[in-house]
Amino acid sequence: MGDPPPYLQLQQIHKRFGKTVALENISLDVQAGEFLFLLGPSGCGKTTLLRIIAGLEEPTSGRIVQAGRDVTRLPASHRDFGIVFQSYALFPNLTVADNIAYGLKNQKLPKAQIAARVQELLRLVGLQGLDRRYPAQLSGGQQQRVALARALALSPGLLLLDEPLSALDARVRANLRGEITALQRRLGVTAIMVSHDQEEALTMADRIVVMDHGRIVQIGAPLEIYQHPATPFVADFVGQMNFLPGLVSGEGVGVFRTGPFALRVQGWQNHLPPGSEVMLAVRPEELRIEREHTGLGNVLLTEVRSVEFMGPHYRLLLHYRRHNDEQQPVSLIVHLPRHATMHHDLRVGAAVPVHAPADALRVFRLPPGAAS
Amino acid sequence: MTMRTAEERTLLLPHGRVRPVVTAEEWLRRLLLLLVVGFLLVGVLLPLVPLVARSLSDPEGRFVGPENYVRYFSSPGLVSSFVNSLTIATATTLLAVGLAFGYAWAIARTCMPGKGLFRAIALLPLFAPPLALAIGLVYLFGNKGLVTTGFFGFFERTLGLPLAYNIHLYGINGIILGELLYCFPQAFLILMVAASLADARLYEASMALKASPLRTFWVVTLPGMRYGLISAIFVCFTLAFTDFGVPKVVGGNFNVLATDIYKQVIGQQNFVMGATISILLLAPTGIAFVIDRIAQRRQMAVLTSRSVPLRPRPHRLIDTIALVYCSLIAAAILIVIGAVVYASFVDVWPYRLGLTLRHYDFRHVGGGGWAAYTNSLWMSFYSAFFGVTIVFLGAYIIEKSRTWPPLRHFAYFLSMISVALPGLVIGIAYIFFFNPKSWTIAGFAIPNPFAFLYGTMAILVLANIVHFYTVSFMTATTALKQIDSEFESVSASMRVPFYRTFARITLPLSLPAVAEIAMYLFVNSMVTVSAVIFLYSPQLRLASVAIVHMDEAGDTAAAAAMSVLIIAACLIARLVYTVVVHQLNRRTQAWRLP
Repeated sequence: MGDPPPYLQLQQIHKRFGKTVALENISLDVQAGEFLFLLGPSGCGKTTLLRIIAGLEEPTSGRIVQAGRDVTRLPASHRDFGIVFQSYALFPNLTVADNIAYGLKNQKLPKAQIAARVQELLRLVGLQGLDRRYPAQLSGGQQQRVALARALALSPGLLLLDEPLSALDARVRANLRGEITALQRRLGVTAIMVSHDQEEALTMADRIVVMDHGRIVQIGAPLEIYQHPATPFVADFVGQMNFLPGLVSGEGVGVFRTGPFALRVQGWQNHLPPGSEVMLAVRPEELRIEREHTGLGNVLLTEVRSVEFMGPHYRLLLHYRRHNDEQQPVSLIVHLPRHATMHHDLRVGAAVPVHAPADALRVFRLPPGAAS
Repeated sequence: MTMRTAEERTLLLPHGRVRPVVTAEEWLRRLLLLLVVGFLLVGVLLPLVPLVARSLSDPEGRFVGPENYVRYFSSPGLVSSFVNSLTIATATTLLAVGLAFGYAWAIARTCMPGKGLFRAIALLPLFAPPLALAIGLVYLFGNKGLVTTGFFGFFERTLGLPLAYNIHLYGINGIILGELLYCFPQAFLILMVAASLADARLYEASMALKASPLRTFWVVTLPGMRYGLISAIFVCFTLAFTDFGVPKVVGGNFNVLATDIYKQVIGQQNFVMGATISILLLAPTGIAFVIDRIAQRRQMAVLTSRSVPLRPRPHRLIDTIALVYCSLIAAAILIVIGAVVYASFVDVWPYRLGLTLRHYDFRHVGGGGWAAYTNSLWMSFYSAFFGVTIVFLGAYIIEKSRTWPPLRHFAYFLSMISVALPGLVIGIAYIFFFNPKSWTIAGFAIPNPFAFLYGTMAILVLANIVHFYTVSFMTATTALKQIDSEFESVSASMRVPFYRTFARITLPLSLPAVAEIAMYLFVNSMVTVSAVIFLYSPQLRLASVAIVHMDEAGDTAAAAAMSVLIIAACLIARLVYTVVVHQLNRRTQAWRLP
């Protein structure tokens, strides 16, 4: 028995504006009921892709199949989706109820049925009793809930969310994250959300599509993306990452050198000739401060540059030199739990041994032609 | 894998675009766009073709190349008109922009009292035909004027002082004074906007850096108002260069291009020379238009959403100077318009100063009298109604649809160029385009499908809408730009047709702009004379044209009376507009206030 066919299929989507390429060869399957994130920095093409999925923009070439139907050439008004924008795009001259009922009224449904559906949607987004208000009389978070209710009013098969939380305060944003996810799970609607906020993507998505310069860089579940970033770009964009320039050592498989220090990387299979340049990567929370330099493996001897108090933890900026006369030492960041600081001398200039566990280190090959 | 440059990758990618299915709704949008483009083609672009063709032909219609222009420039009398027009326009622009800059600055940046009143007075000349301003000058500075005769000899008799003063109104003095009154409010409106758009943070930064007020003025104030200044210069130059009304009344023997066209066409029936002079009238305003467009394109958002509005601080000396300055200008405006109103009630100026209404009985003077006034009211009403409809639909389809991008850009271009067409040019071009029963193109006679319009109310309305299209269009576009561009997307996602969203959302949100455009079109159609003077028919006389004829016939008091009637209609229109907008704001307060 095969898998059910994907709900939405994007096949080789290209988009160019004049000479600039906005999207290059995007192919992607979205399963029914999935919550998919399009994540990337501004200008990476994620919003353009969402608009193409909605039919608000035409691709230069490619094919889109939704629920078994080729919708590539259909304008937005003939597709099946609901959409929420960062600006809310609520009609200011209509009440909350009229905003939600806007699409329903056009379907020529009986009045009582529309009213019942509006009430149901208001309950769904937790805005009972606000139906007579105008959008300007609501808070940003409430307005975005109305926009969500309006997008869901026609029970679309696909919910598109274009940075819906970016205009909101941090606290409201955190609350709405959980609510949107819960709502999406409950309704089982397939959802695609555009975001530049990696934290949002990690907490809400079933799967994340990381995009850069109009191309898909990696597709995967949040944990997979975080733990096994495909490229240095993904590693750096999703979460924080320290990058240490290194060389393949001849001391054995999976051993690398960065300056005077030897680092063993667990699970490294690739056989590169000794002396090849690579980029070693490790997340700040995976580094450990040693009490004293024991001379054991995978330890870097560093010097403290600065210490910042972040609330739950301290952020240590450390550096080490690969040669004694190196002009720009290698920097690394370590997150140290607050209670752990009392055991260490962390004054600026102090020498600190840092342990980089073999199972936390990742290796990226340098692209050909790139100088270290 | 080999690395390719971005350029190479671009070349390898597919071209073109996926063509969406054309729905019934899309056809409707296309139809609307075609209608707008069709209107602008017939109203703006096509009439210019026979105008240019005539200027290159002899009176029998044979092509003669630039011969007419050569003949024009070898006739010293005509060349001097060209130079005169340039002189008038330059002098007026310098004076009007300079004076309006100070006036706008005083209102926007000082704490003097009476700002609202000064603002209202500055705008007053907008509600009067330029002819009326010239007539006011005649009553003050003309041969029997109040000032010229020293208050009818009052000073001489009572005080024994020879306080009579003759400024030699007829000629360049009168024209510049009249154009100044005419252009001042236009420059003031533009500069007022520019002066109000100041970011307080820049001034605070300048103060924190201990820059002197003079340096702050050069480094912050002037650059901030740069684009407003360029616009004001463009508008004033164009108005003064092409105006017909003022030189007609106070020009005397001082000829300008606008009066030359009138004399050639109306006086000598020399249409070829009329067309040639029209093109010459068009050239400098066309150049000014291009310069202005280039300047405005370079204007980035002077005011960002994070700007902090500048609040003027009281300063006794500066506020006093500003108050005196504005009072002098306001008094000058009030005196001129007051002179028109007063003269319209005076029995026989300056001999019998008793008040009478007899000048309002137009039965014994030419021009068409009350019927002309009624015609003007109807014409202005139609211009406002049909004008706002076509302008708003045009701006909507250009701004809010994605239909046929090249055609939309073309429609935008046509919408913008009409501002560069002087009224006289529109009038003459319309004669050539609409009057013939058939057009001769390359030897073939093609029946003119629009000939039925000639001599009707429709052609007057069309001329007015086209004449005042650009400013109305920009008002509509600005209003539409303020409406979230995603409304159309959201509506499409809910499968609501665009015309429903237009009727329920876009139009209600734009009603204040719609009212403003309607008022603007009404007032300008009431006061304009330049386009319609060539197009009205004896059965369909107009109030503003009547002023010209009454003044020509020496019935100046009747001309003043007609001017007062026009001013009254415009002020009432303005009042209606104010009440309507007030009501709109009250009704819509619920969804504006948080």
